[in-house]
Amino acid sequence: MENVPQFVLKRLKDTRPAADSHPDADLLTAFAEQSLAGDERARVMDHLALCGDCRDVVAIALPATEIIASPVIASPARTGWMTWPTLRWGVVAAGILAVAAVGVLQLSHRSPQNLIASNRIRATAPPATFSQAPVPQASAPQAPAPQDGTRRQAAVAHRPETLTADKIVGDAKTIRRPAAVVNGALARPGSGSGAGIAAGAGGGFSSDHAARVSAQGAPSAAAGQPPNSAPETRQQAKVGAMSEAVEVQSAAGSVATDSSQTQIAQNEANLPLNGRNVSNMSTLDVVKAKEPVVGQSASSAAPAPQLAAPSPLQTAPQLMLRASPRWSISSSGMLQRSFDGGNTWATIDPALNATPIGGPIAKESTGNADAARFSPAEPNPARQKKAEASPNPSPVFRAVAAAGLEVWAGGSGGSLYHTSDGGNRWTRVVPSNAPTVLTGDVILIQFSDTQHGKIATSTAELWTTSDAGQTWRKQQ
Amino acid sequence: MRDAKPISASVQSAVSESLAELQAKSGCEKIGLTAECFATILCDVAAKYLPAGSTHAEARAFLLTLRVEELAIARACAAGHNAAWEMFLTRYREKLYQSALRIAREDSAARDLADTLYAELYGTSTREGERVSKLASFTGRGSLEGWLRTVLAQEFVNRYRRTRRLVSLDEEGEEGAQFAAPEPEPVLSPDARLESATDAALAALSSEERTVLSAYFLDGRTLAEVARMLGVHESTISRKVDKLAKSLRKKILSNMMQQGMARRQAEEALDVDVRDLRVDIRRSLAQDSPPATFSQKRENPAVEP
Repeated sequence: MENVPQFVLKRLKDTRPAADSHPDADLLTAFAEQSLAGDERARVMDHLALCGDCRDVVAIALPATEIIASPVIASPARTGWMTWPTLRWGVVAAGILAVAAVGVLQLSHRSPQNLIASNRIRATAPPATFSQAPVPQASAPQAPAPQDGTRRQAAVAHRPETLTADKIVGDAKTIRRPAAVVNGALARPGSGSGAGIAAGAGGGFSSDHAARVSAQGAPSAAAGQPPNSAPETRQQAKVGAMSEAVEVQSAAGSVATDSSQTQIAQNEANLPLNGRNVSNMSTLDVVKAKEPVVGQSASSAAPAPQLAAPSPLQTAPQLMLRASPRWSISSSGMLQRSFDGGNTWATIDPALNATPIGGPIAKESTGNADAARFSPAEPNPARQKKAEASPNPSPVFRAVAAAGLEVWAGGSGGSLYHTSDGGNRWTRVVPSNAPTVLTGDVILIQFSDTQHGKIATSTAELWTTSDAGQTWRKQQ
Repeated sequence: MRDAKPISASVQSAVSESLAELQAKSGCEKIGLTAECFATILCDVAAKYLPAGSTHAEARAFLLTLRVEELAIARACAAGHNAAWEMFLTRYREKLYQSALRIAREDSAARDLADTLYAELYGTSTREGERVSKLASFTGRGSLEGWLRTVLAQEFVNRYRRTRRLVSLDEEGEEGAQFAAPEPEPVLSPDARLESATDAALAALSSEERTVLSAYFLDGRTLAEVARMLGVHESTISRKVDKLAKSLRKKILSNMMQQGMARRQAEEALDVDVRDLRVDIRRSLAQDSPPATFSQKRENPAVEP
């Protein structure tokens, strides 16, 4: 993508709107929901053209992508399209290219147009790479939606989420990542599901994943896995691959490379926050929302250094890394973790098995979202109650800070725990700077990156570290 | 009570005509808003947004675009009706906190943000003996959920701007260069021809084009975000950005050449000296933004934009 010269940007930035011309919250909301028309919309647009603050507000206030997909008054149906996660399509693209290489030769004499043709194609498809399988199931939903060269209606069957992404190919245009990165990205998850894609050979998604992908009508590189739904996926994959390949290639010209998006790799669960990653997040969000196991081991992206409360927005323009899984503290002081963006939470007890060097997997107990995030009615929730009986008395947690898989949690009695793997193994950390030791309850944890952090206690102590918690200094 | 605005006859007639329909749609009676109250509210909202001289038909059309059900809930809450408040809590409290978490991305900041707004919505401050709730300023032009997010975002942007200004001396030592003052390098003033060419090219942009460019290049939004902001497909934005960047460059260059510069010279002037410009930009970034832009909204939710 062409860049705009620095000087031009500087000039662009210099103009500010009149101070009293900010649209009120209602207008901004109506604007963002496409409820304004004609003059009014133009006026708001005029203001937005000059006012970075209001632009920020509109951007920040955008709903999470799944919300967009559900019907909202006055918003055009096509908004559902944009939410198709591009990362998934990077993955698919890799698959497409792989399959296309095989498919092109075999399918070249067939019509690449219609998905309905998949039946026919399946009949003659070489069994070597793909196994024969009944097509009707998946092709039925596919059939009514002939490829139109740019889009394909996706069967929604496998998708309880509202992300009914229809415009798959539309987003194929926005694929920009080389297969390698994507391969790497998806190669991490455990073998059970969502394995990586090998560009040439048959790396494969798990059947589950493939089924999901196929439900979208997406072609996917398939390994020789037997599950029922998977095979037909591949059949379509082949047909799809043909045209997809064509489209992808033709779209390649118009693919806008957004370099920041390449950094995303996999982040999961948490739903769109600001930052360039937004659209990419969703794919893996959705996938991993269903596969917590995968999710757990999958996110290996660099920890997101965006924990510092004072300047969270500062990181918005550059960083897109987000905490994944999501952490919270229940009103009773239990540490909780969610892999699915906050829908379900599991209680994690670091104290159970934590050792100074890290120990075996902490016991996990699945509970209901225990007043999941915060309890608005109690500004100071009662934290005296102990969570559960355990060999070591569990502390009452009061603060948690997380970035990617790096998590710090602290609470009563100066307890401070750290994990680098998303909460499986915990280490108890005791900030001290001989001869002083941290006293009081840990009530605030802030890490601006993996190395630098601050802890505040109920006794008004402030401890800082610059080496990821190995040594600490108490601020006087 | 808000200051009464002159309500034109056409608005009034439109309200009367639509009242029954809108009343039914909104269910206002069930949550404690009388028909008269509701009619007054509708008049106020219409008067607020409709330009003077709107016809009866325009007013009526406008009224029909309002989200009257949510308007009724919000205003009933603001008026202190418990049933409405219960309804509000059931439907929106969770979303409020979820959105705050999404916006602030960190538990304590999110909680803070949400708590603050929650208090404002409930109406903890009083004016002339009456509880003042921010919900009184909701006009139903957008969804209530979206409005809540927008208000959260405004509060968030406010705090961030303020914080960014205040954060300086303490952090400098710890965080290193993060907040260091810009180095006093000599800044070469840009070529006057470059300036005028650039300004001319930028002035020729439409508001939408300018918004797209600013959001993408200045604010750092993703193409997807910009697309969602404007309600278009991401690929549309992608094409637009590319086209704009190219055409800007072309225009500026040709303008400079018209002013007498050789092509090579013009290209150099446009593309080069990032070092100096970087200082400039850092300086601009370090400048104070205009003070809390949305504060007046918080104190005076009823004030016109």
